[in-house]
Amino acid sequence: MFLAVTILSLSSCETFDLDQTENPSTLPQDKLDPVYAFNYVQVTLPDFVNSANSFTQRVTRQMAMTGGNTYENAFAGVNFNENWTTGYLILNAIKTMEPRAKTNNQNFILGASKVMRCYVLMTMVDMYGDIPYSEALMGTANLTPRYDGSADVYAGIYDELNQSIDLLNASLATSLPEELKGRDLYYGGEDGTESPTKWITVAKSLKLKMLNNARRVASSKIGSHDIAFEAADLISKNDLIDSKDEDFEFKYGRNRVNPNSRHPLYNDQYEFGGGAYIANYFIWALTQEKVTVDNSGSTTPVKDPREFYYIHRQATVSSSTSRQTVPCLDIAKPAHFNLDQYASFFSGRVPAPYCRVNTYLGRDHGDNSGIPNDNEIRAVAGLYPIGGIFKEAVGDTQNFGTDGALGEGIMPMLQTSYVHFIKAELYKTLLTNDALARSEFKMGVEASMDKVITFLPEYERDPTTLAHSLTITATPQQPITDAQTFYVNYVMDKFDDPNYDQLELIIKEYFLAAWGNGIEPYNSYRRTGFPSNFQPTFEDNPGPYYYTALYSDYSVNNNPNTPNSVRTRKVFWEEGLNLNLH
Amino acid sequence: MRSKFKWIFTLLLAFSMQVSFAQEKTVTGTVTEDGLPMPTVNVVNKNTKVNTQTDFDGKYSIKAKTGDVLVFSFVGYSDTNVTVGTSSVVNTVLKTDAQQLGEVVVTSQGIKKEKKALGYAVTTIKAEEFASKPSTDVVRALTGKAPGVNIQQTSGLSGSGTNIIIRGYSSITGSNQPLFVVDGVPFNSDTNSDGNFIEGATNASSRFLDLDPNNIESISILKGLSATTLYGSAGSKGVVLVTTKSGNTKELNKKMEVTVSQSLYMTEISALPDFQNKYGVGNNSEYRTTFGNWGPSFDTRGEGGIGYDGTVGHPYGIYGADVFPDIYNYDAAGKPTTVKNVAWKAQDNVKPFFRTGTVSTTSVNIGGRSEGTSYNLSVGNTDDNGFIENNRYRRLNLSTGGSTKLANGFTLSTVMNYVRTDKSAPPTGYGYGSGSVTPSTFATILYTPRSFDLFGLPYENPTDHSSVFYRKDITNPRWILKNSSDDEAVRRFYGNFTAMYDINSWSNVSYRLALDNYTQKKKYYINKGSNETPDGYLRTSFNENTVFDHTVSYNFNKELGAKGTWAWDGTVGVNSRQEAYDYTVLESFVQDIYGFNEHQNYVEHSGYSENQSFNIVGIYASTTLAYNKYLYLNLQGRKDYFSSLQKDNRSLFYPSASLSFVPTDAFTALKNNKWINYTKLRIGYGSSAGFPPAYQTSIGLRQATNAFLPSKGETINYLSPDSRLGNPDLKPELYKEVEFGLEAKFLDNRLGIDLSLYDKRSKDLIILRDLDPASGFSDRYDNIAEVSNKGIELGVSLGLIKSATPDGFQWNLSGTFTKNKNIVEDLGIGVEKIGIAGFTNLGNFAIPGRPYGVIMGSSIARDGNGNYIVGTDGNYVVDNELKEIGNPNPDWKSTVINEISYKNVTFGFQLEFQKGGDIYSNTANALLSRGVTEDTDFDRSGSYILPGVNPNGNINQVQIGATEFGFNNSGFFIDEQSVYDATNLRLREVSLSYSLPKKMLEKTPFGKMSISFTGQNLWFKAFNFPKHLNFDPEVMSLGVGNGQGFDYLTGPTSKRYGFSINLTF
Repeated sequence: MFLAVTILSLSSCETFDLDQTENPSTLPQDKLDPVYAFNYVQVTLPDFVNSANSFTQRVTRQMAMTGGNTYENAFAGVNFNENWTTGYLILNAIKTMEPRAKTNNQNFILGASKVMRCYVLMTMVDMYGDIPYSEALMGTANLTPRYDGSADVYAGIYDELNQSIDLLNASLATSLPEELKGRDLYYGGEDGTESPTKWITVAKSLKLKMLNNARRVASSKIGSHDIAFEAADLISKNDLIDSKDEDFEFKYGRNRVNPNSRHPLYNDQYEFGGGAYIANYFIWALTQEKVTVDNSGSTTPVKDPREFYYIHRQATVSSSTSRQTVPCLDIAKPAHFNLDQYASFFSGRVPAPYCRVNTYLGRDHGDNSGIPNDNEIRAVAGLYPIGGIFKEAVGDTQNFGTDGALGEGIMPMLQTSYVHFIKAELYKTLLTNDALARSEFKMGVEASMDKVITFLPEYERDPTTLAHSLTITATPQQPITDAQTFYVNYVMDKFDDPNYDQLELIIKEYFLAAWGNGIEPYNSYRRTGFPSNFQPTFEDNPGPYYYTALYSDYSVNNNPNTPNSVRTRKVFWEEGLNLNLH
Repeated sequence: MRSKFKWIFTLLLAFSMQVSFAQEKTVTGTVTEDGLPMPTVNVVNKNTKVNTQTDFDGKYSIKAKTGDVLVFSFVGYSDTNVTVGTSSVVNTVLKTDAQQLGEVVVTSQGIKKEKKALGYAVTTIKAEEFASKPSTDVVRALTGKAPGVNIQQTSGLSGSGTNIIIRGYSSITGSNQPLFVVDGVPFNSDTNSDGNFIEGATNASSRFLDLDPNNIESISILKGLSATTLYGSAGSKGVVLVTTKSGNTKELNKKMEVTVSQSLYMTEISALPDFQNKYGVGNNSEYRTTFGNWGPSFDTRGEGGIGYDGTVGHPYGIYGADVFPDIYNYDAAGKPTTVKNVAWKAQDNVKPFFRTGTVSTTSVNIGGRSEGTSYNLSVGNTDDNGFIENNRYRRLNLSTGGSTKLANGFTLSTVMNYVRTDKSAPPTGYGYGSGSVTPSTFATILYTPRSFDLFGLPYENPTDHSSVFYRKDITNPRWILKNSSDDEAVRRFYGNFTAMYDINSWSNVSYRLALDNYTQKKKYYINKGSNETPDGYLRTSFNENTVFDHTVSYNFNKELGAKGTWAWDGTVGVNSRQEAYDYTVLESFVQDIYGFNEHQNYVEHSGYSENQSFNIVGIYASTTLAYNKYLYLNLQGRKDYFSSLQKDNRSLFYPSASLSFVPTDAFTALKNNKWINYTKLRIGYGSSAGFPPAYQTSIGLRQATNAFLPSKGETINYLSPDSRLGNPDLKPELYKEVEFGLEAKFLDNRLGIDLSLYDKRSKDLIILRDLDPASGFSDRYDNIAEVSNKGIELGVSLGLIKSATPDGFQWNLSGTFTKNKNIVEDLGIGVEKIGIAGFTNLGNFAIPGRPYGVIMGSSIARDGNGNYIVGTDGNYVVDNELKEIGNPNPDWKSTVINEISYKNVTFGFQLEFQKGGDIYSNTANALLSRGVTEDTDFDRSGSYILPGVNPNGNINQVQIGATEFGFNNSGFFIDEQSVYDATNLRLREVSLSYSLPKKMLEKTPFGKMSISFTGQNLWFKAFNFPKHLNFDPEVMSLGVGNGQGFDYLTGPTSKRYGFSINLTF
């Protein structure tokens, strides 16, 4: 009895306590230190880009679209949940820490975060068109934000980029706080002193990218800013990304577990089980499309020095390869693949790819057939940008993450070569200066070559592969510079050849340089319709192209303000374009 | 002291009586039933209206004159009238009243009531229905036995979880499992899984598995809200009231009684598919190491990759001569040249994977009473070895209970239980038909190529113990069985302490302290060397769950007015409950030394811990007013306060009312009628509250340490706002239900029916709703939904053949019928659908206006006229836009139980039928698309044209081969094609028991002795599945919870058969 009374009095008070609304196992909201939130934003941004890539790389034939055999069934709303969610969670983290960062005068964090915010927003506008902007991120105050017109959001982003530049300039006034040193994962280096100026360069380059995207709008303005004037002004001020140390990219680590810090495509293709298929079109454009034609009319591919950096061949696939692993070798090429429009841009003698590309095994656009036992023979991504293997010789990569540069790659967002191609396009179009377009085009190709070939210098190049890879039929064992020169000369010859559309050449080289980033080719394709010879969809009746991505199921299902999610909607800068996208 | 004094006083009175004849005297006596004393029997002096009750020993004393009539009454028994004679001792034997059918049932808060007084449905299940049965899970043993109660196993593995849903799903994202109350104590019945269904949540056992079926006296299931109101929010999904033998000490013989039972059962996989033995691995009649069996026939010679001698290259040639030197031929120099060949033939490669397990249960129960004290001791031991290696479930139950009545008016009673359970099972991760994401025992075994000699070849690489198989991208299922395990160990104490004080003969006050505390330790590991987890993985978790429950109540029961016309009883109480949960998990990655699974043998570690607790305080009252024992009005109400809501929103009051009317007692015309023996009409309204999970009004930060490691620099930690939004306005949800019932007995009690109709609705239903992430957040708890359940429950009993003598030939039939319509009425403005369980693109969804949990996934594209669209390649075009492709809710379910007895032999069998209910089956699509069963034994040289139109709208004329036809159109690519109607009939149970006649036992120490042979799930038929799959759709691959209608190759069902012996002495 006595015991019972004791237990009762001890435990019943506790069971009557009714004020227990705070979770003791999570940190309360007031502990959100801006430095820690900045970390979150920095490491989550590449996830956002990766989720955008998973769609954009597939509709631009960098990676194979295998989710369906028509555009209708290749993607559904759920495929965009991750991108939509990751994007807005990044924005919300920035928004939530801002008041405290302002109080603390943490201008660098505020400025760099705003640049990343703008990058997320412009990517979402480019992908989805109208998005929640003015009413977004209000939490309980507005669970169903309205969707702002894409032109309005663009204008807002453009102004925000200007604000970010002001904040970063302000941060230059004071030296970087101690806790930030080594914490800028993008430009920090050891002491982080160069961080603010480089982020300013990124902000300005992103402005140029936006101006180029919107260069054909009827108003010729983004908000109140005149596109041609702003573009010319930005170029003339010359604070744009133009060197490797300014490239806007996320640098992955090489740690395999806890945390897995490697490039996501390396995780996919270098552990076991093959991973995602690379699109046959990309491999073809890289290795087969450019040819020299001799007098007898026979063609010889022009070697792209980036070939073995971009793609690794696990095994040589030929017509005698077992059908066990490559069943499409036995299936006739669909008739529409033979149409002239899909042949090489450089020579009608090079037909569109099908099933395999020379000795590489990629996959055709919209081939959703079953997965054969081809894990160890699929082409996989190489050293650049995923930190994979660089080797001409074959060898499988299904070795649990022990090959190549161990995944220490990058997620490219805006690089020197991209900015050159953007400038070339602007000169070719809006700013009408063909000579400068030519030089920017050349610099773009060269910057890409340089970036790729010198990528991860500490990673040892196999000298035989280096030499062999750059072999050009005429002269064996040409040194690397010769190979680059040969390639550059080839494209410059075409550029100077009036039979070729210079803009398409610019976009084609941009397409090749952008390997690892699907966002830029997706924008370029919708802006220009180039490359015009994208491999057709496996099914001859794929339906209209994705003028915009589908809205996430989360927005469609939960927000009545979400516009009708159809892929024929257009971003404001697509309006009025008369393109035949396929 | 007091009772001693009473005896002396009685004695004195007895003396005085002799002196003064016909004077008022004190009459004493004992009331018994079948030799047992009966406490709390009402004793009324009909002449003076004085009344009293028998005490704990069945004794009473009352003032009476000679010639007065004493009326002894007790619910369920005939009133007995005795005229007081000259003796002042009146002993009486009460007899059960067959006519009155006064069944006594345990209702909420342990209050016993006559069944006819109840205005709501209660199903009582007696021990013989679940004790000594093949199933060691008491809930699983109840399957099909109670209308309105849907019990489903997750798989047939020993120790796997069991889902129990009463009257449909009434919450969308919250738990729909009922409250378990054991001996008056809330009993945690959670199914705790460290992983989701992808990792194999089906393996996690449900904590009611800790109950020893042999120590349970009876189970009452309270289905409707008018029955469960007093239990508060926890009872809003129904209540399963369990009375153990230890907690039910009143009905014991005075003599010590010992009951011993021993059972031994075998367990096997319920059925294997009928495999075809004509074709081996390959595609288009070519030998290839595909997953599928569309290769050449086994009599092929010299073509399709088969040698003229009927051989193919050794499948382990892919590993090279370094690994398997014996399978190579060598040249003179000792260099390996070619790989040896193996015969191209069908193999017996699936059956040996399964074994016959044994289930042994021993149970000893000792009980007795003496001088106002009763006691019970019980020990149970179960050793359940499943139908597959490394699947074992062991349980030790120790239980003791006792009660004593003190002289000062207090009655003290207590029950204490200790349970030790240990379970191991191989991991059963989600299998998608081409393997699994996490280690999974059953993901591939059933479609092992017919030609692969799984048991004649090694499963591990002799050099490093890694898995070897005919292709490197699948882990050998035998390797998984040997190298991984998912274990659970539970140590549990639960019990209660009750003190009751009799204020007077008609009221008392009681206090009860209840405690349920368990720790659950889990260990999941896989050695290095598999495909899914090449480096190995170890996870241990520790979970402590505590429920503290205090109840103080005042109870009364009083007759009012003349001749017992009115009776009034009731209870008022305060209940406070604390549920606390403490969880720690440690994960380790990268095993160092093969085969050793302790954290120190792993290179990388990461940990997580959380603890939470909440309190619910409830004030409740219940009262019943009875008129002439044929009209009963019951009113109840409870107000709950929940500690994890903001102050303004944390409480809710919910009332209920019910009325019971017994016309056969009310109208004299209906009394003693041969045709209509009994009728009762009841109507009830009930309501209850529901609370959200703890801490949802305000959400803390998301935190990650070691989130990223740059190639140069330190690891990155971060903080960010959580993706979940706190909702300060969250308030309790309200459930309401109207119930109508009819109970009747006809034809000399041969035919009985018990019918219930109900309509249950939720208001302000709390759901975890998804948000447009543009709001900054992904989801939050919100009071926005509404779900309805309308249903019919019918129980029928029929004495098909009755015998005049108790040991004559008898045949009794009983049956149940359940139909429930479960509709999602509303999800709030703008919310089109909510994923309940499964994947976001293939799972159960809530859609306004549609049945709960419809299955959505990809479908065959259709043109404007609804025709299937066939692509130019001859295969159907997939539509990846989410469409409704199935409804997992059965149309209705029915059970028929036969019991035939003659003399000492009883034969029984239980048949169950389920009509409708769809299931998405990966077993079906994998086996069909891989071409391993006889269903795919069709002409493989033929070509096929799929019915449908091509994209231009013309009739499809593209021919495809057998491989494409079989492989592409079995649901592997289009979810809709994997959905089957799960209509099935099964022989749930068949039993034959024999109890030795008393005569034979006279010279033995045994009082009773019986032996039973029982089989469970020995036969079933799922009519709409392809015949040779022999697939039993009674599985739930999404685990215990709200997901239903998915089979992800996470473990087949089992059948069990064997015998049990029961001895009493």
